[in-house]
Amino acid sequence: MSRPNRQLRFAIVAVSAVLTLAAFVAPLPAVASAPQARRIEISARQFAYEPATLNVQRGDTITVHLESLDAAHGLAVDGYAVNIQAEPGKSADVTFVADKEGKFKFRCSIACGTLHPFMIGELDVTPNYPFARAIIATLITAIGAVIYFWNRT
Amino acid sequence: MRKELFALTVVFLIFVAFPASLWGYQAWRTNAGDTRVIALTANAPATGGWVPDTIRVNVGERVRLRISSPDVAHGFEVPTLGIRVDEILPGHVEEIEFTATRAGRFPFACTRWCSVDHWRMRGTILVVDPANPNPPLPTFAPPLYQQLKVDIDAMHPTQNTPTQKPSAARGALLGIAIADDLRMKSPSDVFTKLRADAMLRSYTDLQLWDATALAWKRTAGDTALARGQKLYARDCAACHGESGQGDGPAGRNLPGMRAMDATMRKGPADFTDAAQMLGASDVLLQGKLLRGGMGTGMPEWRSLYTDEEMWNVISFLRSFVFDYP
Repeated sequence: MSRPNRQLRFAIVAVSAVLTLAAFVAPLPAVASAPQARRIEISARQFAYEPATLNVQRGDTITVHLESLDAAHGLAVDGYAVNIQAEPGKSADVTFVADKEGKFKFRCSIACGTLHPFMIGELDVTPNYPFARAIIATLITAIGAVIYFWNRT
Repeated sequence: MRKELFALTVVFLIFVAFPASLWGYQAWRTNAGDTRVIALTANAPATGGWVPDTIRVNVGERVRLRISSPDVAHGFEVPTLGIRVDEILPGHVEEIEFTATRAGRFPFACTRWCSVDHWRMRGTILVVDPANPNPPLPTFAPPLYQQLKVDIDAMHPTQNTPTQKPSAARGALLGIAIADDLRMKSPSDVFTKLRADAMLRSYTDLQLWDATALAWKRTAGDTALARGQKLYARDCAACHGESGQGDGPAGRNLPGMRAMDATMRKGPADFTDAAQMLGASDVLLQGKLLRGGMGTGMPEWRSLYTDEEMWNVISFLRSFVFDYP
């Protein structure tokens, strides 16, 4: 092991570590489209939501109107303070701002029968920066590792 | 040897003493004092409904019901005894105590939409007087619509339909006094009578409708309207819709829908349809409530609603065609 080689390897590790970290914390440009107010009507039945996937932009103000077709159902979004319950004849509304980007599951929050635990939908808040950051960080780490081991041989 | 004894003791504790103490505690709770404990399971109607669906108790006996649900949220109410539990959630046991002071049959029902057949979920509490176990069956006076020979299946369109929603607030500014007993008459009858009155010739049709709306609101009173709104939300809105248009989610695929007369509107009644609602008297609407839907899926409410509750709901129904502030 000669000294400069070791220095070089340390530099490679340091650079890829710094870049990986940067991929996670680097500030990003603001969202291109202006936030808008949206109303989404979801109907719940045993044991599914219709629609089961909501695509929204970060910063949008979302009003969810939940209607139940058979028994009491709820809608609670992971990562957001949203939890409403509706039954036939008693719909429920909730308004929140989609200020966290990423994919969030929403689930039924009141026992509605045998398959209740599987009553799940998804809120997709774009742009999905956490996902993109993770991809970039993985690529940087992979490239750094390849260069690192290339130098060793 | 001591180790073996110790092991045996542990085994005895786990397999005999512990279960025995649990069972003993439950048995002691069940028979403690003079309270009889009855376990009542609330299943959705498709999987058995109330188990048991007939509960026999004696007059004066203190009874504690332990109600549990294995599937979804249910409610429990015995209207004629004034007992209710609003929420029976799966995994919880709700307890309620009561003493029946008079013999008779007291129907109970689920009060939350637990499935599409929710309205079939009923049972009976049978209160028996040990001294007189077979009393003669009680007799009821026939309901108003039968006494008055109102045909509740005939069409009842109004003679004159208002151009916009009659408003009780506008009616209050007119100072037209209506002294009729409104229960027997339809809004259309009252309007026709006002229109025929020579003294009121200067008023427009809409103004007379406004006066009619005010009369109905005054007769009902605010308490009744608030109670009616609660009951409507709990028992009617699932089929007739939150806005009264007959478009509720539970009323979309009713069992008797296909068998209905082809000329008739399919599905739950539209309470915002002024032409039909203004031609219906309170007594006619009460008849429909008492009898239920003759195979359409609408339950009969005679066994579950007190007279007062029935008039409360009917008063509230008027708010779909009359504008009550």
